[in-house]
Amino acid sequence: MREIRWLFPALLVLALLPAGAAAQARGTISGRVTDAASGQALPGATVTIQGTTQGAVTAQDGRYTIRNVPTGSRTVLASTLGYATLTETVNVTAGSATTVDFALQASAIQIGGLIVTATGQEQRQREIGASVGSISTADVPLATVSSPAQILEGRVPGVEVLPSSGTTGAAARIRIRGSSSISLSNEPLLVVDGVPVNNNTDAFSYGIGGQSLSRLNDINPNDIEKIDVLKGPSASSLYGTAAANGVIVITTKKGHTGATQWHAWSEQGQIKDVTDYPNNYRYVGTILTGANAGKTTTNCNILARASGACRPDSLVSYNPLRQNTPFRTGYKQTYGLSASGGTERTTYFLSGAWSGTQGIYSNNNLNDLNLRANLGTTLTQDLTAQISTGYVSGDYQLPYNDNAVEGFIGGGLLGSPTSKNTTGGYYGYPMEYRKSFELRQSPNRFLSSLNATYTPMPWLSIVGTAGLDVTNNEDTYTILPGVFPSDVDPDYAEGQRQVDAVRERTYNATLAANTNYGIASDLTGATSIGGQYRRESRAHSFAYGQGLLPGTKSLNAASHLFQIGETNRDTKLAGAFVQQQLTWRDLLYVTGAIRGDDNSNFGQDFGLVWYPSVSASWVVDEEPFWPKNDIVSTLRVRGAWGVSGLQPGFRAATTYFNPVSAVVNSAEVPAVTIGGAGNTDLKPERSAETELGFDAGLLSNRLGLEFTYYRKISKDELVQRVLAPSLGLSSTQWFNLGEVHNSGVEGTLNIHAVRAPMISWDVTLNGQTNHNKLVTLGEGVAPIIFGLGGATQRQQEGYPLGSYFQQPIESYSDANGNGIIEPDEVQVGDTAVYLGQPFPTRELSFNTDLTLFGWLRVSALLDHKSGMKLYNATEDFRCGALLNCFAIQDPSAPLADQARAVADYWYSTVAGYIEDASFTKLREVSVTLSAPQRWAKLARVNNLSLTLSGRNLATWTDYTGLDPEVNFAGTANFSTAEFLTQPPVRQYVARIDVGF
Amino acid sequence: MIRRPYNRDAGSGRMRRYSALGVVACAAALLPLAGCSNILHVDDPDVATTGSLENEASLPVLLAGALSDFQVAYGGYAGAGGSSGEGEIDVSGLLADEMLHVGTFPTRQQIDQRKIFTDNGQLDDVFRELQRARVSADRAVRVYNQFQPTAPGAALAHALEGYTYIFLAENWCSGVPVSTVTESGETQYSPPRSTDDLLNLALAQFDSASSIASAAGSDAADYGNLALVGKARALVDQNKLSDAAQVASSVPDDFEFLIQHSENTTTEYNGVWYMNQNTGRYSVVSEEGGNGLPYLQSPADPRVPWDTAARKPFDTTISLPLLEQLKYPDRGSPTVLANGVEARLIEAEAKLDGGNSAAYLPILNDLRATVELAALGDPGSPAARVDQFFQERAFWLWLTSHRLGDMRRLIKYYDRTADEVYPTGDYYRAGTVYGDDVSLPVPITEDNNPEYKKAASTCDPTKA
Repeated sequence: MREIRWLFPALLVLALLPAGAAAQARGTISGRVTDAASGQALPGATVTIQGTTQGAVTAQDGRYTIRNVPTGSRTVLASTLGYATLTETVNVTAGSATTVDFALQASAIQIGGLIVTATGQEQRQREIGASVGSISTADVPLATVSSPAQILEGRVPGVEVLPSSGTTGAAARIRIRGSSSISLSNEPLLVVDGVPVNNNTDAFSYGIGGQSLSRLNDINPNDIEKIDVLKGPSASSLYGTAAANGVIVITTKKGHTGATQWHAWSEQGQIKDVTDYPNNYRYVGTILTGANAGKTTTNCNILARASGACRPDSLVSYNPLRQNTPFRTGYKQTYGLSASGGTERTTYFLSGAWSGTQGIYSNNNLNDLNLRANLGTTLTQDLTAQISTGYVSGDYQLPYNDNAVEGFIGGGLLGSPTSKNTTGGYYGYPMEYRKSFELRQSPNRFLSSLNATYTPMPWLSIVGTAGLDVTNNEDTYTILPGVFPSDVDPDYAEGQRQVDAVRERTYNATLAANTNYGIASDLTGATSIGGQYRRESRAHSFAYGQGLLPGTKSLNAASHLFQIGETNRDTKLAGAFVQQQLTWRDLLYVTGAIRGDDNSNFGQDFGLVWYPSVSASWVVDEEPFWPKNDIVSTLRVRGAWGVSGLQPGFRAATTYFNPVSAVVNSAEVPAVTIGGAGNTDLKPERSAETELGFDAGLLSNRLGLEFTYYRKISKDELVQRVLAPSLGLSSTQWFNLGEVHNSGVEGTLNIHAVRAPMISWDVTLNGQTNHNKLVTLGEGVAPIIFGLGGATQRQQEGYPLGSYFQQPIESYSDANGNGIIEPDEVQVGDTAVYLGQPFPTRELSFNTDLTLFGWLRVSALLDHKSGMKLYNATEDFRCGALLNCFAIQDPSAPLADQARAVADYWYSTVAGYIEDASFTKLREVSVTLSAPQRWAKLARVNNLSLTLSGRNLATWTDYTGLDPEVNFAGTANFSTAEFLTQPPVRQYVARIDVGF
Repeated sequence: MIRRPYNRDAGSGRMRRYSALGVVACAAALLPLAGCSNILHVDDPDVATTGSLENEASLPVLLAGALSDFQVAYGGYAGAGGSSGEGEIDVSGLLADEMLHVGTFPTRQQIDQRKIFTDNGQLDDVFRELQRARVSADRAVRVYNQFQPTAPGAALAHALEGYTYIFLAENWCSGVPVSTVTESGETQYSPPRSTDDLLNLALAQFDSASSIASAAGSDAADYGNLALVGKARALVDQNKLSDAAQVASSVPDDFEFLIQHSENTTTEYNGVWYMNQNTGRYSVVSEEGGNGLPYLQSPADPRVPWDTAARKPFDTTISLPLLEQLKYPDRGSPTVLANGVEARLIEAEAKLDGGNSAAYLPILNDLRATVELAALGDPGSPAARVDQFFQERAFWLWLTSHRLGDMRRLIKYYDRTADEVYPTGDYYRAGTVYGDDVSLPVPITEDNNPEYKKAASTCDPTKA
């Protein structure tokens, strides 16, 4: 506590600074906000009084009212996404109402939007020195997306969404400005309606080969108003020890003043596997040597025939995934209804939706019910509150795949064509057995937040935020008895059942005081001080039994091999922050802040951690000296620097023993074994980020250009130093040793290409680069070797995190001209070398949105990623281990394919299968037909539209595997490979939206 | 943390109210930090901390922990999905001629094929488990010494630690470090220790165990015999056969010390059963690589019970059937660590006198009679007697982690070459041949031990 004593007087002075402000008489400002081009009302637009904490949101008719405004000359600002901010100066007189209407011009550049900050306040984007990405779901064809992660895909520069699998419900990895942490999760912090919530991306109790579920996907995209992305510490510093990977801030829909607006929607869709799977091959031949000479072999591969061991007779091939297919045509259906509206005192948004998705396997199904109730109320003239509650009840069922012998893809691609009559061509056992695994999750999640704002004076607001995120999961695993023959797997044959109960809680409380005050005629100040407390707990218990009574699937019917277990995790955080902003003529904003955190996961010998930040934003085009022109209509330059952190894992700082059972004197007794070797000096990872950029509106704001350069330096990186085995301890111990650098540029070019009465065409190009480098792992720490197969990837100094390393294939040639690459015709390097990194270094996405005649809208998203490699372990395993690929069986295969197969089989290097994974994908296309108003009126509704959409429609790539962006390890931090992973599936959805 | 709305009528003046608000805001901001020591406290009910075990009441738990770690290291366990689970019995048998790799992991093939890389993950796991068992037993010894130095449990802890040194010496190359973490938590790294050093460390532990067991009387008789067999075994490994025979002579015929497994938890499963019958990743084998002994006979030798499994090997691409051992027929089968038979075999070897005497035969035949096997005749030549003795020893001690040490002794003390003892020539998987390793190498992760790294490593797995 010694470190923070100095903070008390400083904070008190800051808090009391404005206390001397004089009391003032008050008036009211009201008016209407409309689209300048169409004259239509703009509901949801924000109107604020500059220099105060006062403001209002427009109702459905575009109207707003701000009461209690201090008298005198006041500058009023109106802003909403997609429009240029408009400013009006009015004179407010005591006891009277002043009318200010705004007609906003559409703009391709966004600097006027509002961002919810860590202090609980909304802040204009123009005041923030860091780049913040914002997506309004109004701009996203919701028929094309099934999850919040898919909303982010290709729409925010700096954000990489990395889908791991085409399995319905599988989680995706999200990286913002690269990977910062060597060992901790690189997933961003998730904030919903102002409070941090559970963002577990590995939320399934069972290893099903690699894929898992994500709690992010519990949130219904239809309930989301907008998503803001704070891309790194320069923007997220005030979020403290959780925000080094950036923050995704989701704001759910709120009601607006006005009559109840009903919205009903339904989606019906089809899901298909469209992958071109390779055949399995075997050459049947005659053995020429040894004791079995003259007998038939089903593996007369190119090496065997080249060595004279066999004579090839006939090539046999079979494609079980197509000829004995496990796939079905999946089906998606969604039904939803929402109501929103309110009075000046109370607004509401209520919604309910049921979604049922049958994936492409019979044991891959998702059903969920989402309910939401958001209530806004003005309790007194000074006190407002917003209560947001969401509830999801789901039933998710996932299949085995990836690195699991029970998987469909693995079974199909690793089988021998000669086993067609025994296993149906599948590896090990028939496909039908694989359908019998039933792995389910039934989550019940309650997400709630309360935001209360007390504004006793125009210059002072106290914002209290409380959040509760409660998730109760029941995960179950069942294999019924009698499905598997005992000679295939005696344990499966008996039937097995496991039930896991997982209870996760996230509690959050934040209290902040925000003040605005004048310092000089052109200089105003804003001070925020606050504190935060957060607790994340997880309790997991399970029970397992084997030998089920036929006809049952209950633990109650298990007969033996019972297992039980319980694990508990609890992490607590307390932090305090102070932020000071200085504003010069509402053109130049300079903000400094500092936050101090303590955390139960820190080592007991470590104290507080401090996260400072500073930023500046200058709206140049509004300066008097700036010549008003149509070439550069808007120009803002900005810069920010900030620090934030990541907490060590639970128990990482503690040395402990795990309880085990042991048999002593024929009785089971409690025993202990070493669990972990703790480090009492453990502290959080700290990432310091600098960014510089500008936002420009060109050609009368018809062309918007955003550009940002960033550089992030992450220090005190937690590294699991491998302990010498002879110590007899755990395998590793955590130390703050590493340093990782990320840098890159981000840009958005937003073009309002055509704006005419009958046609409007917008084009958006988002681009980003990322240069990632592991600077150091710490003195004396050897490269960390990991990855599929045990040694395909490394954390090695001087290279990007997760880099692929293998012994290279230096050359090959068919020296003897027999058409076969033999072992001595391949030259393999002696040592492993860097072959590439698994994450994209460049991404360019192209969004287009064309509206014709006011009733036809066509949208498309094209996404290009490059600079990454992917380990094609599927083909490696087929060629190097199972010997059922074309290249190892048939000499007519290209020599390059033979060479990589032979190098794999003979020299155990998979270098030939670490391939360029650059690709371009047509991710989404949608066509929306909106009924003309007179048609809608005939149907007695306000609006009516039909959207036809497609997802995963085309891929262009030189990658030779099943798909260039899947990952066998799901959301694992760095382990990346394509290994028997379900590729993306194609989805067509028809959606009807009705407003009434 | 949400405060009740401020009551506008309660204040006596605006300035006072504003000041109060500032104080409230500050207090709210700083409360979390001011009260850190309390509000950040978390309970961790799932584990035990180090300090909580350093007391007399924890002695049974520590001893049970030593047994548990020893069981994992020796007989193995059931790892997730068969990705791990082997102990010393499996791995030494795999490198020797008792086991065959029939799974898909190349790391296991390296061991079976006698071409082991030091970055072999399976090897690392097994080495760590053995070192953990050593340290766990040592921890129990230390706390017993503090609170109950003469208790029977202390004898068992010493004996278990002794056996960990035996396995490090017999199965692993010469040059294995044995580091320690002191009571105060200080790390003391060890330089590589020669096989003979390790055996001396084992002898010291067995002497301590014997001494405590003798003083404790009948309560610790089994632990005393366990220590005697261990000591005799260490002396055999040092080729001090007559000394070994003398130590073994006091071990009764019917003595048997079992390491218990159980169906209770997967950690307690018998790893030999798990890797063989359950996962099909290991098979038992006969005459492996030409030099392997003919273990699998029809009808089966009662000391080497086996059968052809109904299931296939895990790697379904190979044409071999899965052959299963029936010595440990289920997941809870105990393994034999030491018994009277081994004591008699040690006495017999002392009488073999390098192959020049047939005096060992009566002992062997007495043992064979106990399982109704026909008596053996004198094969006539010194070399044949050695072959006969070591085959008998291999059959009696099948799958107890003796065979690899015996094969190394045949090279060190009986003038055999590795090519005459170990599986050699073409490996059964197409296009591959056996390598030269005769012992398990120290894994590369031991390079994190500065004392090991700076010492010129003596570990050469191709040397016996």
